[in-house]
Amino acid sequence: MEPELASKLVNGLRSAGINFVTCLPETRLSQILPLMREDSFFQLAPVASEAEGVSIAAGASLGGKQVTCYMEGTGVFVSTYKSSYRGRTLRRADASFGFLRWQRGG
Amino acid sequence: MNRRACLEALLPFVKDQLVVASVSGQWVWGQLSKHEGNLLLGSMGNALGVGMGLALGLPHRQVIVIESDGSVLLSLFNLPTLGTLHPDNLKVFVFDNEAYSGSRISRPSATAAKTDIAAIARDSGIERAVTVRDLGNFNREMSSTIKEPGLGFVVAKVEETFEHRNAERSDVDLMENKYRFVRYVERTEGKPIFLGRG
Repeated sequence: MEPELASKLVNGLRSAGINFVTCLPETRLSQILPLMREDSFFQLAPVASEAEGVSIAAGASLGGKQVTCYMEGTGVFVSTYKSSYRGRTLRRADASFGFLRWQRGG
Repeated sequence: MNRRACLEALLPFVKDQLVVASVSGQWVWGQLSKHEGNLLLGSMGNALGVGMGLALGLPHRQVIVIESDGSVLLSLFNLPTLGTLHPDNLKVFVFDNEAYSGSRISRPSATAAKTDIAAIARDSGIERAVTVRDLGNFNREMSSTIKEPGLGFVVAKVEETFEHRNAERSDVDLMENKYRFVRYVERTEGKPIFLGRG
């Protein structure tokens, strides 16, 4: 990933108010991690599984954080069970909950 | 040792903490406590993760998690993450009956064989993880865990009981519980969390 694009992505998260990010590094977007680590606006929670990344983000959002989950594309499938909880948790609520992942191809 | 007796002992220690309960614990805890800060999840494998998120998001607030052996085993990756992130305001109680004790089944879990959840927790960096096997020791560990600062992790070995199969379920819907919980957090933290669209 070009450094300029990584910077744009992190600035975009920041301007959207995202201040809590669960992360399990992947290859193509991983350049955003050092940028977020250096920026005290972001609270990072490194996780061992994308599934718990969703649970932890759900808990943080109930405490008032604006959250996103950064993961490999396959992590979305790993986290489907937890995401079903996330769906119940945030349904009809004005709270942001994003997934940040690389998607390639058609 | 009986889980209900343990939760009855915990009850007077809960003042303004946020309490996250996994599916099996919530049946008994939901009967015992009407605390607005109770978040009853209605699912397995989520309470520890959600509790961690709450504790990280609200570091000045004590968060209590009521878990079970089957639920912790379902999300075992939580333990190294908990040991790494190490939120000092999180207190975890795992009620280990060594069984998957649902509404119709009773089958041994891995803790009935050789798996030691407290040992896994300690080796994951949760230094104060302990196992207790009687009510006296539970009361002592529970009390010090709640009162003293630092990440707490108590595994309580309890007998398998079947009271949950006949227990009257709460009439509070899980969605209703979620909104009540968040409104409580908003009120006590003095900040909006869920903004209505009405």
